[in-house]
Amino acid sequence: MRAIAGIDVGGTNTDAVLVRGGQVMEWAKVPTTPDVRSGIVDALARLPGAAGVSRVHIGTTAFTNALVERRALEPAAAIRLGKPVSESLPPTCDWPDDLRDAVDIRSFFVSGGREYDGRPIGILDRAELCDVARQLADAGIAQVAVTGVFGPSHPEDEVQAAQWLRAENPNLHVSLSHRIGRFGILERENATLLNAILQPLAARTLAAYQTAVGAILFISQNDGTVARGDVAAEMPIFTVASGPTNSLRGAALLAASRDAIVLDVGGTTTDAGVLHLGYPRPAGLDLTVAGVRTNFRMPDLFSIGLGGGSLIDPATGAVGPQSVGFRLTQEARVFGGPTLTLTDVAVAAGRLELGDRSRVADLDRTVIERVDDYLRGRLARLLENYERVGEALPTILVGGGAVLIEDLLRGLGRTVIRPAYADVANAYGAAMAQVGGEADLTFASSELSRAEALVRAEREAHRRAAEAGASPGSIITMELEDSALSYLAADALRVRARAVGDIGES
Amino acid sequence: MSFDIRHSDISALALGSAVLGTGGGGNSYYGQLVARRLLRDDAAVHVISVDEMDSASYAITSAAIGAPLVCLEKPPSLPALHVGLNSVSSNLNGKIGAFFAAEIGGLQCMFPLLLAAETGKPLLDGDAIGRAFPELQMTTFSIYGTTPGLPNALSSERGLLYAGAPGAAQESRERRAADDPPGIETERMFRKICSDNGGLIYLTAAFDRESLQRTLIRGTISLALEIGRAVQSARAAHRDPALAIVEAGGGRRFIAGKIVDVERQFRAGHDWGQVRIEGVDDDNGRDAEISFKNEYLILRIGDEVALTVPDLISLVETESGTPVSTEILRPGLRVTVIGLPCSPLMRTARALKSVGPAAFGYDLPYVPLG
Repeated sequence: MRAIAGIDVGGTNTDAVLVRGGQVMEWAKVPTTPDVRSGIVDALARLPGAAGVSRVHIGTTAFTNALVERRALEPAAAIRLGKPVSESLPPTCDWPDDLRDAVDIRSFFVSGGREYDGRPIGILDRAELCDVARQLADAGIAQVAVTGVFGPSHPEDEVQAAQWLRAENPNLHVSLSHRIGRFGILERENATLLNAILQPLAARTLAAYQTAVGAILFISQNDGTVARGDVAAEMPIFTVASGPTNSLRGAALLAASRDAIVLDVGGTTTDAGVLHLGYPRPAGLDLTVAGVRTNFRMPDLFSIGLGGGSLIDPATGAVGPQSVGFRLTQEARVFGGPTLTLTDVAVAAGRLELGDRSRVADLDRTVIERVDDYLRGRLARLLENYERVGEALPTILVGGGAVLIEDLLRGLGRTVIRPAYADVANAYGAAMAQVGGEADLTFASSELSRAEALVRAEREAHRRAAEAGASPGSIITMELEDSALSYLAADALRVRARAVGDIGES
Repeated sequence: MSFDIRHSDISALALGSAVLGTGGGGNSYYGQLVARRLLRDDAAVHVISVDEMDSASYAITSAAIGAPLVCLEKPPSLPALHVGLNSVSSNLNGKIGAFFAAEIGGLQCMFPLLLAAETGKPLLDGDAIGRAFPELQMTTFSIYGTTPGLPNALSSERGLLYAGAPGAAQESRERRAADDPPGIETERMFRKICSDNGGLIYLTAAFDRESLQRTLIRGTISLALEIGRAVQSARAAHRDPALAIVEAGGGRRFIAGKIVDVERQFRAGHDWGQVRIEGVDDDNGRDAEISFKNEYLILRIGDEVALTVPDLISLVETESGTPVSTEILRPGLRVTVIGLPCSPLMRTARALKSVGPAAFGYDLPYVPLG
């Protein structure tokens, strides 16, 4: 079995691990470089076994940062299929002003799009699309986001529109909404447009990564899977939340636990997430990326203001949410500072050896007890959020502040796991990622039965996973759910399916 | 008493109307966006009481009929609303005095707001449900015999789909069974037109002042705004948002807990199910079960039926006060269950036939908010 390298490019450090058969063989941590590429080269150079790897999986925040900083974004066109439906809500109408100012977006409404039952709203018109393609050529715009009404369940018009646009103007690069988002035309269009304005940056960046790694390149995605480098270059929007996902999955895999709660205790906050069948549970609500509302799935993360630098109220025992943050080594009492932090209480309680313990010797036992009571209550409520009744999930503790709460969690009767290599959980999560496929379809119930609809959606998700590189024997269904379109006399059924599988060795 | 709705009030109105949506009523995000585009800068919609309306003119309600999912693909369409308005207006020689919401709960309150903003006419402070209900026969107009408002029109982005002329006496053409509540045939006919025309259509209907004085549930726009503002200020001051809703709406907090189980099934175009909640903190040891059909209908605390439709059962996220729709129910979510009183117009024997527990298929008496 050949080894896989996993790399996490963070804002501060670039971490790399070499994994064989699920075991961490080697690891390295180097500073992230401004060009990113040389940091990756450097990290890989520190893994003696890296020369023989079959694949390199990289988790990167490059595209998230470009969006947040509003830089390196390409002008694009938003083309809506479905005129006159949705004209009262034009593209980018809910974007923050500074993002709208930072990138030129042209909007076009054209015929096409479908009703929920698949009937055309209007007939897709080749001449109309060719005219748009010519206008874009004149304007020098090459990036296009095509969004059809009911595109997720009836993608034919989007696919056809892309063909006609490119036939007229081969320079156009087209992102299709049904490949990116779910129902919710504006959120789906937003995600598709973000993809379009990131695409040239993604193509450049991932080409540079590819030259840095010299093996087959895979890129981490939001849902905990990876995509081949050439596919990710087409779909950069799928990478924007991969960081927390990799960290959750890495922690769970290191702890060998498929169903667990992960707590990452830092200096200011504790971030919590839950794993179901080894994957982060997705958030139910719409999610904002760089101030723009989108609707693809992100991990359901919850953050509380509890960390090593959290301020303590001695009277009540309350912890945080204010924190001294990175000034811990100047501000905390054990380091000679004036501020009572959670770290000081942990030192006084004998849970942690750090700084000068004598500086907290005067701390009253009752203060420690009050803080412990507060933490017990806060943690119990936090963990409860993630459990069904009668369920007791193990808690995986990672992060520099893990020791602050480990004993308290055990005292609550919790099973606590502190895995080895927790410091490189992100890179390990990237290395261990599988590939996936998703389908979100609607059917008229007169057309086929519920059981048949479920089978069809599941089959489509498996097909897409295989297309993404999963070896057919390894593909399993992660999610399969149906819902009716209520308030309609004729029942229509919506079915969602998601499948993942191991990457086939090539 | 009159007041104005401006750009800065839209989020409070949406938040309050979602609380009054009792789990259903649809997501108003797209409606809010259109309203924000119309109410820019100094623009305002003037809100008046029905008594302040010109007695010689008509008030127009605009509402969507359709599936919430379709609303996600086909956002509110101003041109489609105008097609309906023009049809109705031409039958009234243009005598339009105001607009009003058919349903305060959820997204419906946005449509008349959009037309009021565009035409400069006032919005009436009231609606025909006082909460959210799924069907036309559950409005005070149907219950008290003014269904569906004449003239009326159904429209979509395609244009005019149906027009009901004055004097057509819709109800008399209906062949309804003796036990059927009034308005149900109209509901069935409109629903059929809806599913044949893309699953989302707009109903526009005119009412005279006298009918409205008799049947409008008054003050619900103010109530939604008040509830929304109460939640916003509770959040800002780190106070309990659920308690703020209870105070603003004259209701009661039943239980705060954690969702432990959600069971749902889709039958006859509706989302039916039960959600079980286990009490936490002060409510430790108590548990609740809520039955829903698009909206929350029956609340049981332990074995006791604690509250039923038509009174309002609303779930909010305990921490944020964000209303929880039936679509986003999931185990683990921490929620507070709030009861709010329905309008006295919905508590009469006549109304309970259309909106009491039995109308939703539950063999239970109405248990009002005590």
